[in-house]
Amino acid sequence: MANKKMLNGAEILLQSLKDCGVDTIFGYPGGAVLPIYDAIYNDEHFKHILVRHEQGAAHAAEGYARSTGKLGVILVTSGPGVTNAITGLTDALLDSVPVLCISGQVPTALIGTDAFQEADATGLTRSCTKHNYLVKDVNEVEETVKQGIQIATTGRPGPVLIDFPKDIQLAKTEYNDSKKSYIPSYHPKAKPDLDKIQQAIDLMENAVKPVFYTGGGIINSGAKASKTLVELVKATGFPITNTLLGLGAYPGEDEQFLGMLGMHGTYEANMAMHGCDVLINIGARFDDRVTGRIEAFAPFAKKIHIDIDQTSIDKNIAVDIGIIGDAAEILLEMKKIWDKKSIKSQDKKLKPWWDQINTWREKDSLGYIQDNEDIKPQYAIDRLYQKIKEKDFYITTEVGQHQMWAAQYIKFPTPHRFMTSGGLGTMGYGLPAAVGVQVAHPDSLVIDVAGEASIQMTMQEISTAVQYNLPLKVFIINNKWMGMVRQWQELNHGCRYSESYSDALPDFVKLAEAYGAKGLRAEKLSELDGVIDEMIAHKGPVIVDILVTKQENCFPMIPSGAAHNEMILNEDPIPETSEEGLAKV
Amino acid sequence: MENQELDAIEQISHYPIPPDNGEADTRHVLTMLARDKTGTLARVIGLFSARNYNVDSLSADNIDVERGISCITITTRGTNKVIEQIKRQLERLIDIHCVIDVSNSKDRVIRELALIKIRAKGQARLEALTIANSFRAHVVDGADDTFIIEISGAPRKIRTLISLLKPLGLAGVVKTGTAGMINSSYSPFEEILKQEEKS
Ligand SMILES: Cc1ncc(C[n+]2csc(CCOP(=O)(O)OP(=O)(O)O)c2C)c(N)n1
Ligand SMILES: [Mg+2]
Repeated sequence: MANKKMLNGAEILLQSLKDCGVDTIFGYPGGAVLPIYDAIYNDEHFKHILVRHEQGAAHAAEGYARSTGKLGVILVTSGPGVTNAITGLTDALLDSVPVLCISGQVPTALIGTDAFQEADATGLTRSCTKHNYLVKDVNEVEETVKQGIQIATTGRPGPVLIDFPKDIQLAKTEYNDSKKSYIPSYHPKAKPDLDKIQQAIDLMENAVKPVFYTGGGIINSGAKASKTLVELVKATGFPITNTLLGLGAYPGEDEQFLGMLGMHGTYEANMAMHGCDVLINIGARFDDRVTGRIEAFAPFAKKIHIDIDQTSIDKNIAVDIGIIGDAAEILLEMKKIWDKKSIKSQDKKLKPWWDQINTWREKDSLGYIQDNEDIKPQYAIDRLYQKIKEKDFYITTEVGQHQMWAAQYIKFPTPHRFMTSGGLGTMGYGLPAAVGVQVAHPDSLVIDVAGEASIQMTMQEISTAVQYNLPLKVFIINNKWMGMVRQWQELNHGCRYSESYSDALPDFVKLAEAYGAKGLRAEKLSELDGVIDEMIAHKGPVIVDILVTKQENCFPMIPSGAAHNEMILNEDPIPETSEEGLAKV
Repeated sequence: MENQELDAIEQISHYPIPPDNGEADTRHVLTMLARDKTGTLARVIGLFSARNYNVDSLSADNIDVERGISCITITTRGTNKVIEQIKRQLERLIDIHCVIDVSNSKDRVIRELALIKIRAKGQARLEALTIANSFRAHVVDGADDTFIIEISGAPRKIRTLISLLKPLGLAGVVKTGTAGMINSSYSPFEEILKQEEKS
């Protein structure tokens, strides 16, 4: 007692975060977290970013985490503070992002009395967190925070919430400075089964039409996983495709890269998935946007699935070899066995497969025609990429057609460069995520590729960017439609465009200026390059409004209920918009 | 639903519908050893409702107060694939040590306990007592016109007894839910204790 200082719960929280390497917090104050804000006031260590909405805090923490591989931390008040954060927590759960949310709670004695700003935070977030806690004793604060961080960042990462009653924030105790946190029932790192790895290599060695299909698990596993993946892909000579979340794990401009697969993946990637004889899935989860019709998914393939989460294996697609473990560890083992076997060059054996793939490539499934002064959305994104490709860039997106075009046309050289809401598909993700990315990488070029509808969901975070002088760019592909919704209505609902047109839109240039940012607009093709250059050159936050052709569809596309080899391409006829369909627009 | 109808939904919904391979559901008793923490039971139940699994029976209690270990038993139904997924999902919960599918072993013992209240007089009362007796149930409390019997045994035996007593004045049933155990040399409980000692 004598030589240890007494700290209150709020101070213990901060000390524990500090001990775990946390120095950045995205948050928003309120009555139930004031003791924590009071403790931060005197603490030089923490950089606190004041967002404009708690959903923004959560996405910013996601952007921070996904662009660094580190934990993202958010601090919100009780009641509405925590309910506002829920969309972001769910997003982090579905996309496996390590996020720690500290929420204030009414004092312990008032829990359950419907007190002012009381919400059952642990109840509300039980199904959208990897784990959550309600701290009931100040002596548990340190252990809970350290355990929470361990859970969020190990195994398959995910969000953890710690609900922190105000009386516990104020109660005093000693800080133990305990180094290890041990949870007896938590075993995040399974030892991979070496026999199965051997079997997988045997399958690969004998494959004539193999393909790697890798996902966000590679990126979450760390730099070593991506590096070893590249080495293994090079050593084998196999083609590789990435999921939306896996982009960047393998260099996007490399010859062996087929592009993204799935609903809006490239023709060559999806045809390779359909035709392959051995499929090697590492760190992807056979998501329904990837598989298309299940009976027709990779029908000729022996399937290998490597994942750190045992529930992913055999969940959507039954596989021949399932290996549970960390991607980096398993990739290293695979590479070792491959090298040791001194498997001779596969080039000759694989030649017919590559010839086939190259004929698919000739279809040029991402082709489009930019023929007059109206800017095609694909062209706008393509130009953006051409102008940034030599720079140190990070891309976030909102959700919709522009998101898919960004994934198709922007090639990522390294992991952690592309932050997009894949699993939950959260409109409003991109701008706050860009805030988090820019906080982590203050000197890099951070761009949110946005839609005019999505951006309005969390628009106010531009104010955060202005406050902290974060020079992020919002690149709005403005087609005046909820383009992705319009596309589905066109293809699946007889062109009846129910409520998918925004008949009123803000003037985004004036809006940017109102917030204290810079606003730019391109209406004609001839203005596009100049606007992009000006955007990049400007040292502060910018909103760019690119007016694009309104009715463009995102292709290629696996239509609903179809298989990978039944993609629709840009040149395929699509139904004319009927008079009836547009009647209400 | 008819296959055609399902196809039509798949055509327009943009969600692939998992193929039905015609496999029938089977009933499984899953026993979990868990850390005795607030919310553990809620998490288990929440998982079942969120993922659309069935809960036919549930029981939970602390089995080692000192070490804070509790045992949760759930009876559920599903195809083998679904049962396997349930097990993995449960094991993924942070506070669950392990999940044992008791139904998978031939050395299983599965029991329930029920308290049954009968309201009967005269001949009906005698008849009820005789039936209870033949099931090795015993009377634990009696009053003027009601009495309570206690029975433990396999779930089916208890169901049978209840249905026989129904016409004789069945006035109430309380059951504990299923308890299941495998009589093999491997004991997950011992494993947990060993692990805890090691660390
Ligand atoms: C929060 C939320 N609400 C609704 C949706 C459904 N949704 C998906 S895409 C989309 C339209 C997006 O429009 P916009 O941002 O303009 O992008 P575009 O498709 O036009 O590029 C909608 C409404 C969603 N994904 N997220
Ligand atoms: Mg739009």
